[in-house]
Amino acid sequence: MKKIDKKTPAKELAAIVSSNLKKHGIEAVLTGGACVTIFSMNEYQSYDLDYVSYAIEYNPKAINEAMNELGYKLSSKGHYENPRSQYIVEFIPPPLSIGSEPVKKTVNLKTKNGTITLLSPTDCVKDRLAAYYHWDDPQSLEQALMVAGKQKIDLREIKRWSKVEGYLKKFAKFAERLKRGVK
Amino acid sequence: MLKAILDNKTKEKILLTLFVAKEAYARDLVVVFKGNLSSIQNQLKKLERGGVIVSRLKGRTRLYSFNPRYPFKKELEALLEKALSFMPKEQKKKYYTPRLRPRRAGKPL
Repeated sequence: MKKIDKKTPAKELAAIVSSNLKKHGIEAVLTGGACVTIFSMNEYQSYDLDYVSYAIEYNPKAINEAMNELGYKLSSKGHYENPRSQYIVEFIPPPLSIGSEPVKKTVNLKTKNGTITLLSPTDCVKDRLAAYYHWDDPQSLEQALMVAGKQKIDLREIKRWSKVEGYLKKFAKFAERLKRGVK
Repeated sequence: MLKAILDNKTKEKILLTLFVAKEAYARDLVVVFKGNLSSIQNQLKKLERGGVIVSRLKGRTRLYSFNPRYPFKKELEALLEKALSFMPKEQKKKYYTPRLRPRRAGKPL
């Protein structure tokens, strides 16, 4: 197993954590800002690795064992910290969802340190747009554009989902910015 | 009313308050329900960790509201609405009819 240190980038750290969780029989999906970091090729830097896993409700002991093995300790604030890493790891209770819809398909990303199961680029964009739609968070819109500009995404699916969420106008703003070019 | 499902009376009060007031802070809930600050904060923390509610700082006050991204928000709100419709009028008026309109600072309540 590769050692974790302060220089381990998010993608490699996620691969190490994901592989160790799998070794302990834990299925976990990487979500949130870390997916943006990976899909934007580090244009955006998140220092949180957020995983959604049923194990947090059904087998938290196994998560703890897997994380302790990597040098992570559960903090009083509910996330895992490692003095040798700048990233914190948090396990979010299920279901894996974006807005009111469940996430049906995830993707597997192979790296030299193992495989990461994470949101697809399209769902990653939806995840960021959800924060933009509901809280008007401009940073989330920029992050959605970073991913959409660098990955192949299904814009029709994002439009359909935006309609279900009731935010077609805000989707139009996103689509317009994307069309004009991210930069 | 929902204690059997939620297994906690404080949690029920918090959810019903957030449903009617849209947002609340811990001390607000302590005053309305004459409750204990730490038990209210504890339940707020649990609900936040579960993704049901979110919080943000406004000045030095942490304001809580429903998480619009919680996948069961619509269903939870429907349940809370039904629970409120079963509540005696007096109780509803006392605890779950917040004043949301503005009032000039310094004017007696």
